[in-house]
Amino acid sequence: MLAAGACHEAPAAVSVSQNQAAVATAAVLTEPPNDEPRNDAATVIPGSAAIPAIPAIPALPEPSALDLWSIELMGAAGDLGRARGELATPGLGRQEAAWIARSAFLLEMARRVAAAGDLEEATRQATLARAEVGRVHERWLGLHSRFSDPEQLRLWDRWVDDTFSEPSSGTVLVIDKVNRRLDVYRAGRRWQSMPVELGSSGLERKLHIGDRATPEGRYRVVERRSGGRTRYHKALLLNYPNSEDVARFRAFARHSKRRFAGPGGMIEIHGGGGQGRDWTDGCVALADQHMDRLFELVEAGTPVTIVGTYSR
Amino acid sequence: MIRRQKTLLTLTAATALVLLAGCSKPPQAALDVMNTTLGEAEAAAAGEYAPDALARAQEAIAAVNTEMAAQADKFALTRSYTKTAELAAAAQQAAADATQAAAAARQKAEQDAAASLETATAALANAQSLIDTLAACRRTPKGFAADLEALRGTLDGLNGQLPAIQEAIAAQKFLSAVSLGQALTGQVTTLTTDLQGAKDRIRC
Repeated sequence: MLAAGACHEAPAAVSVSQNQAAVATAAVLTEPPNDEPRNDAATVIPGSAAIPAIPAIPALPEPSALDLWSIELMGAAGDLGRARGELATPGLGRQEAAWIARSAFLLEMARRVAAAGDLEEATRQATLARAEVGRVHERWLGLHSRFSDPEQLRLWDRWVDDTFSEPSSGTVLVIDKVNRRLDVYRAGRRWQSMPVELGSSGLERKLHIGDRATPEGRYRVVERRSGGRTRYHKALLLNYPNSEDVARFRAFARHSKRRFAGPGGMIEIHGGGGQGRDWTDGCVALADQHMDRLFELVEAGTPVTIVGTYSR
Repeated sequence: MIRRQKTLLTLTAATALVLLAGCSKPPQAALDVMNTTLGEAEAAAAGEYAPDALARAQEAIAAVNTEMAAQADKFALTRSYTKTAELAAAAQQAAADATQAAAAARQKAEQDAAASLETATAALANAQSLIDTLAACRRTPKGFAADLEALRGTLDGLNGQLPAIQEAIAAQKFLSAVSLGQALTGQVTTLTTDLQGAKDRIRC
């Protein structure tokens, strides 16, 4: 079953990086006006020793076209290397790889244009290459800044601890978004771990309908679905949105210029996974064989806590 | 009598010389043809497709102008535009050669651009085929699916460059199209090498 909102929407637009050329500009020292006393020798402050005059720093020449090209080429090559490294981290995938490929192509074209002697155009193309690959870094930053915030980490740990202190049948599911893992706990002990896939913006916290983010919070399974009742092999429907999700959505909607119908819903743990990428609308997908196993362990009411990551 | 005849002869010779000098005007028709031919060379994008031939024509025209200026500096009775006419004819020929060279180079560039597009398209299709083969592998190492997705993304990004080549061809920027095609094929070849390497490693 699809979560509310289309599962095959175009990826959300990401603002193009404003990562512009790091251009070394000449520092121009302005001469004092003629009618002001010049600090040629020393400035004497009453009651103090003479302060030696600061020697004037000559103005740097404007960077040449070759300087600008070299700076931009090195910058673009460095940005590409960084992005290739970032691509290996969870949460980045096909879209980012496409940006990197486009950036590498633009940089290759820039090199060709430079070899033909048009350094200005080459610099412009290298700047475009940097902007393209800068989108990968922006995505990476957006995904990872929360996951190193100590306050956030403490909150997620607390959710997990609170989940274990709740009365339940003994089975507890904890989903670690960063590590793409669903941990099955029985009697407080981790019993099994299964790889999962998230919404295509899965590392973001779900806020509103159609954002393709996977929610974070404490939930429960409210329904088990199989047979013709789900498109994805088997499914466990969660009680998203909970009261916190609704409150967060309302606070967001008050300040948002766009109007959203609501926080979304129909978030499930379902089959159809094993695709090696985040592809759902916000649901958590498992490979069908894992879903089969999980389905047998879970009943309506089983606690499911979804966190960015946790340390238990 | 003899003195009168000498005077008459001198006057006749002087008049002939003046008339001859008066007839020595710049070869305007040849200059016009030369300039028109140069315009044709420029219109044929010789600057882009036959820059060396165009440069030769421009040098020849500069020589014509130098010779014209040199004659203009002379006393009217001693001017001669014979060499100017010869230089103008040579310059006109050089401009015509540039036009011809540009047309030939443009035609070749157009063919090269089409071939470049074809090569890039074939390289992309080959990469897609390799990805499909890899995706169908039964035994794959852990993390392979994510790697494959990244490779698919790389192919997406490269596929997205094909329209740039097509647009360059449509805009008749054939040299640009050739360069784009070569760059794209180079990038796809790198991807194909990676895919082939992965295929060999996992014995797919």
